[in-house]
Amino acid sequence: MEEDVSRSLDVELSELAGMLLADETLDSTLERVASVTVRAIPACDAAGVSLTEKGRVVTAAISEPLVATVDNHQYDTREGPCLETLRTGEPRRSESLAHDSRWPGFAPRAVAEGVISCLSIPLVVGNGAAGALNMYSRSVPFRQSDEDAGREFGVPASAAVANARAYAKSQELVDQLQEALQSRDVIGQAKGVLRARTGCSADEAFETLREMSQRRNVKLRDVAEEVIETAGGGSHDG
Amino acid sequence: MTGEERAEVPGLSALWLSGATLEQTAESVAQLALALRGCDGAGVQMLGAAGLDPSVGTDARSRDLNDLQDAVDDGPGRECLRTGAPLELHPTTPATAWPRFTSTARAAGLLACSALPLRSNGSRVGVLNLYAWEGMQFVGWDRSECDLFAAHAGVGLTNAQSLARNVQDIARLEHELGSPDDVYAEACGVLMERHHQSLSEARAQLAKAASQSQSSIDAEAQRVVKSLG
Repeated sequence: MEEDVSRSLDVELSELAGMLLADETLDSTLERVASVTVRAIPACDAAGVSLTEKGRVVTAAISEPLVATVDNHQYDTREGPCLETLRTGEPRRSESLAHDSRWPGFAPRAVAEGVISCLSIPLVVGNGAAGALNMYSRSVPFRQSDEDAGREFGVPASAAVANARAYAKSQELVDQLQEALQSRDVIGQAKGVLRARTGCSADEAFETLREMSQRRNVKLRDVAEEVIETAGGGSHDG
Repeated sequence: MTGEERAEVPGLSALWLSGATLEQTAESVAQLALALRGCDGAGVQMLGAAGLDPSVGTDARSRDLNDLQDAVDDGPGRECLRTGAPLELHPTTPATAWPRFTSTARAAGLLACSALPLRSNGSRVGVLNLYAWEGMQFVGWDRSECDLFAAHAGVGLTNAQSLARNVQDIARLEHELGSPDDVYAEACGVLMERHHQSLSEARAQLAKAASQSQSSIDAEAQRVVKSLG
């Protein structure tokens, strides 16, 4: 039995190791991590990846809708294995949620969804972000052997998520800079406006534009045009 | 699946690419290869554009053997890079197999070498050279174990190369964005903000100032931007 678990883990680790970043999006990578987790951990019926960035926890990928529902119960009640794992960096496991007194708000809601047992494993994602691999079972309890397998699986899963995030961020920056180059005149003018207005450096002005673009999910060129429109109260005549 | 396979693939699947250079990732792969049976030293040589083609080894002797293959343009690794075929040099392989490499390498203590193609999506991305030294009880290569390792190493290194390519692109694009062409646009923006001008008015002012000072518009733009301090 233990050998079967080990073999199953090997096969799934091979799938993670075989993912080409350039062929995947961040979302598709996270979804594969979730689906691979279901196959790798024997007791796992459903799995998801939760990520926290700037203090906000979100469910980034799920193997089935149940995961989002149960994760939301954790977020709503502000307790549960995922949130504790994110806070402590340690795995959290409940063999029987119906008899677990640690999470009085969350556990009854999870049981009502048909979940009998759960396991959360920390993901080390880097760059100020943390993550958790959340596993739920409707059929059999997560045992110590599942937790051990989860801990082993968590290392390459962390690498897969971290690598996908790093690549996605770098690709996003490349795309933004290419767009910026195409729009350099408009952006240059906006940098000049910001520098004259605030006394910042050229790099700081560009960074300000980029942050505005990211925060509002608006193209850099459009943000620059908005800044130019406000120049000295005047209008941009192209 | 053997116990040895199990030891290698998790190591490769846990490669952390963020924050590591392509060369450092290649070095990590070479270090992981040392766990392969019969491997006393390892080298990774990658194909790619400038800056994306590191050649690394686990130790001085492995690096020297990589360099030797490059210098004489001969040897199993060199041929593997050219053809994409896995090649092995054994203690019984005639020196005529790679005449410019084999004798010199054996004189330096090389007993065997396995050159494995690193591939990704069917494309060649480099070669993994496994070396065995004399006096280290070489027991032969486990071909399936080595092939599995090389298959995963090829994907991991391709991912590292993709990330490194983006890092290169980011540096190039940032440099281009900071080139002098940007200064003219910036100067226009400064004048627009300072004097409540439209873009055409700012351009006209720069042209007029350049004419009056008998300098170029670019020089006038530089002056305006420098006035920001």
